[in-house]
Amino acid sequence: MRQAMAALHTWSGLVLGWLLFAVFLTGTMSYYRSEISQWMRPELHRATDNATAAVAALKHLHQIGQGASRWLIDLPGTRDAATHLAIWRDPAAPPAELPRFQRATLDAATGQPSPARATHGGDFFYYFHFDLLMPGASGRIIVGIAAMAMLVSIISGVITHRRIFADFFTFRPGKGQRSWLDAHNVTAVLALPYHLMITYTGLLTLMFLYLPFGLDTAYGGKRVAFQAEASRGISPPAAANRAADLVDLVPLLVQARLYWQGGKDVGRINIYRPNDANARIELIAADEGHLSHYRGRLVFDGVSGALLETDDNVSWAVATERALYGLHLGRFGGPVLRALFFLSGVAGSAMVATGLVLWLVSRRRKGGVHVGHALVGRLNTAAIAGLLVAIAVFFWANRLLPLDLAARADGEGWCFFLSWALMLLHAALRDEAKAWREQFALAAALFILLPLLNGLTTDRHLLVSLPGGDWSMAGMDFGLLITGLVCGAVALHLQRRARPRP
Amino acid sequence: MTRIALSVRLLIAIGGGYLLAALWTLVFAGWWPGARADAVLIGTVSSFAVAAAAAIWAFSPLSLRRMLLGFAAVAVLLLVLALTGR
Repeated sequence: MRQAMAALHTWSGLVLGWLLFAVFLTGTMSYYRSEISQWMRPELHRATDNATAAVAALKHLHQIGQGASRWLIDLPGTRDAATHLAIWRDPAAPPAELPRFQRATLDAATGQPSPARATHGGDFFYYFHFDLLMPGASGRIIVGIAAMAMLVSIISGVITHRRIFADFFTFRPGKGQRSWLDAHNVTAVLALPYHLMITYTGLLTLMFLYLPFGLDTAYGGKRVAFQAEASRGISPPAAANRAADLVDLVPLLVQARLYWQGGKDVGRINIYRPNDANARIELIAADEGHLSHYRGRLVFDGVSGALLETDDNVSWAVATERALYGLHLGRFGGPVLRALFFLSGVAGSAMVATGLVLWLVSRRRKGGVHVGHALVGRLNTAAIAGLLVAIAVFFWANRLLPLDLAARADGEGWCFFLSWALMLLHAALRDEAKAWREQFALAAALFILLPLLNGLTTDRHLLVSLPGGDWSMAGMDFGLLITGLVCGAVALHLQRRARPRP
Repeated sequence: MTRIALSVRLLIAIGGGYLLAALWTLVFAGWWPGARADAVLIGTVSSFAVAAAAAIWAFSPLSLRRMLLGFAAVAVLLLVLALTGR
């Protein structure tokens, strides 16, 4: 049993390991998506209260959102200073020159387009971790296959290492392959429940893309009916094609708070058929403070303001699925729980990385020089150390690219991918041990200097953010610094090991 | 493990696992006594565990023949249930 499981574990792990490392690491970073976005938009300051932001956003939507079938407002929260808008228009509806979908970021207090630099912020890593920024569903399908391989790897890994819990207390450093195996086991067991949970719930977030058969059979392809029955959203109303003024938002926000007895606050506002007699306003609670994602929905008549629908009486199946989804996002927790999730994610990334290295070390020890080994070694270097360099370059690009550059936000992404490709080239041309060392050293230098670069290019550096109690800005600077120090420690360790022993 | 045996096991682990998971969602959609939204959610949420179990089964130490027989038995059972649901 163990031998066959070991084969399954090794091969499912190696084939998709490089991708899994990138997915795991960028997904882990997404716990701090809002903080990353804030750091990358240093022009935006403190958020305002919900009602002011909602009214300001609505005023702006009335100016730019004509002819829309739906408006979406994501209100600023404790972790994001900006208001985010989205506008949808029916493809058939005139005027034809208006875009079918459009997004905007606003200064929450004024409701005017954000004065901040153009950037994708933390959204870049968030989207990368499940769709690889590839067109259509292709990236999501690739990540789904990788996640499934991860799930099988974890289960077969547990079966393979039947002494796994005893092994957890065993770490033998400086013993080559044995040390790598110990490190792999420690990072795996340390957060094993987390790894299982995050992999399984990750698959669930896109489950109807992967396995739509039950849904399409039960509903004959009418997914909107499922959305409504499972309380995942409303059935979008048809337009009455009679103009009517929208009801005032502020009393609805107050009513929602009272309805939830102060336990939740509105995080998202959907307005369907704005300024039409059939308008509907949907208020959705922010994810903070409760486990279930997308729970706490109130639907109002958009003209009279009457409460039409709540999601108080959902079935246990719906509640369970929403809780599993919320568990993956991890937005329910406070700073301490979020940090624990982050550290578990780091352990998961390290588990994948040490597993990749272990594959190579154990095969090389068995002897023989193999062209495949050289290939795996190079890909390991670029996929692990090279990705860290690329992430640091992404942050550098945010501070250094000219503010008036055309398509500036995408430009930051190009810097990320180009530097990653350069690292692959570097790994391909350089001696393997040197490539590891140099790339970790480069990542260390880039990360450690980022707080300094922040100080040189903005007025929100540590000397300002720390006395001012600007914790998300200061936390980011410290996080970047610590990441750099860890990379530096790895580079130093590799340097020492390379030196011949006396 | 011979090359052919490995290929068969991989095929069952990947293709077979997906097939069983898909049938599993159909069985729930067809047979769950409660609301259809619940049937869809319960069947789909649990189907990934079915796919993972199939992959583990494919690499179990059983002989190739017995592994295939076990897989076929489950697949046929799920197929019959999927076809006879409402």
